Amino acid sequence: MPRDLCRAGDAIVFNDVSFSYSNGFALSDLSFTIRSGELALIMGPNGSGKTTVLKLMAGILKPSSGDVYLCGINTKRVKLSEVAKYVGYVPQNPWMAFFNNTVFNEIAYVARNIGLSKEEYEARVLEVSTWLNIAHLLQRSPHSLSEGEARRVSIAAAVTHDPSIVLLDEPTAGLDYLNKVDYVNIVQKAVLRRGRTVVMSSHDIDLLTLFPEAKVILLNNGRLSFNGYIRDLLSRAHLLLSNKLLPPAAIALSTYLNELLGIGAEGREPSVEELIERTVLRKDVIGELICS
Amino acid sequence: MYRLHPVTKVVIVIASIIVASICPLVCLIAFLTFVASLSAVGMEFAKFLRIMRSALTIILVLALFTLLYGVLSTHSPRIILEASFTQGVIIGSIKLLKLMLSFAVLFSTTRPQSIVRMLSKLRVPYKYTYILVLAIRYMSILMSDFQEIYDVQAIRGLRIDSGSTLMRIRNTLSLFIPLIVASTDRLNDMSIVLEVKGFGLSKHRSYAFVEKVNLMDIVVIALIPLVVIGPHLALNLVK
Ligand SMILES: Nc1ncnc2c1ncn2[C@@H]1O[C@H](COP(=O)(O)OP(=O)(O)OP(=O)(O)O)[C@@H](O)[C@H]1O
Ligand SMILES: [Mg+2]
Repeated sequence: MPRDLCRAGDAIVFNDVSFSYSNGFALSDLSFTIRSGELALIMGPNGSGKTTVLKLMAGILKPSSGDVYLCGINTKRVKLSEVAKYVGYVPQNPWMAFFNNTVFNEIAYVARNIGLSKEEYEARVLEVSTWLNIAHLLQRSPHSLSEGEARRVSIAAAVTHDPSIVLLDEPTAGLDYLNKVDYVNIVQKAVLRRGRTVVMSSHDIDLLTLFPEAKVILLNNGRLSFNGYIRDLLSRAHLLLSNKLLPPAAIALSTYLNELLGIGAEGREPSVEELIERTVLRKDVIGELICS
Repeated sequence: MYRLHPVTKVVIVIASIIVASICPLVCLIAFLTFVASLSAVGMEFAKFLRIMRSALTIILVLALFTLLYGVLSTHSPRIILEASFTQGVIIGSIKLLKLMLSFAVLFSTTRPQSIVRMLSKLRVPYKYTYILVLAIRYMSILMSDFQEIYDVQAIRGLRIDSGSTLMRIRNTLSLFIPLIVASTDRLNDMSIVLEVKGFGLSKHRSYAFVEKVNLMDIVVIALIPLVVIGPHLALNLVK
């Protein structure tokens, strides 16, 4: 299968997909499409089924009814070791992926398995590890890494063979805000390439402001509750709340201020004079807000 | 059976997990016969019958439900006649039977203390009853970790779902390295948590007697690969 497959058209298609575990959790009737070259965020609270959806995308799990198409191929008809050629998968727990004695071998692993030449993969490993700031770790054992390092190594290991689809499960888990911003830079450098489809799962709503162009698929308890673009989602803060996600702090603050100042209440933008007047009127509240 | 070293029984369990996940029908049946005859010879016959009966009941119920579910979800009874479906159910049942049998052998013929002792050699803090409960739960965690590692490595291009049987066996065996590393990490965490919770404050325990590995253990372990690979080779030769 050519690796350039899937650089145009629909990368991932869910067609009325249902799936259930033996313990009763079920995904029901999911339908959505991710076009190639798109960045998609699968959002939802803990246990809403994000990991399950990513595993269905990768072909690790097969739907009990409906179909999942990966690059136009039904996942029921592919072997996982074939999928490796065009998909990079970063599991939620990076330790599950580690398999080799050194970080270098870990990062080169998929490229070797699918038969890239030595010169090719050595050059790629160096390039990718520089992007991800892990070039100094290449000779270490993957099991001696810190969590943040391990996460970056497992991302590197998933992109070395230049797959056309990259699936990342909870890539920002355990990172503070600054590290998240840092992470965004890394993703932009190492993961987002022209024509590559990237899917990230997260319950971290900050990602919405960090990747404002992304497509969002919102899951709640195994059901699709939103499927569209961020700009349509942020204007509907209630949708986030009803899905047990807090809107990003900045959005929450501006929504609050808007309400406080009555912006949008008359169905038109207030003039500057009106705004100043209202701000002065409510300066006690606003002062308190800023001090706290 | 009682005289076998616990490690030997653990080896049987691991072998049956591997066999169940990768081997064709012939080895499955061969291995099943092997484990079944081992336990029939080595246990009180009544106990063996009891284990077989309960295992068979569970499996029969499961198989019936699967068949029923198949019929209900497609609204046509004809699916039972479809060879692939019924065959899947039968193979699944055989695999299950084998797994249950080898686990039953481990847990029913090994005194809990032996298992506890093995764990404590791995530096797991004692308080055995508690640990034993943990250990049994741990089995299912190990199984799901193994599944996770299997899936992730398959999607990284490791040939465990295609290629020759021999290569699959070799590659599947190699998955035990990350499994062991992952589980030692987990055991470490678990023991730290237990310690923080105040376990292990009493002093180290010594044991009245320790099992030795003897000839029978070696014979049984040596038989495993023969039983698994033998019939396969024989069949290929006939072809
Ligand atoms: N292998 C499994 N067997 C049985 N049930 C499972 C399995 N994996 C997940 N589940 C259940 O399915 C549900 C959804 O799990 P999933 O991992 O997809 O959620 P998630 O959105 O990724 O959660 P998190 O944010 O915690 O990662 C949970 O209730 C979980 O308990
Ligand atoms: Mg998850």
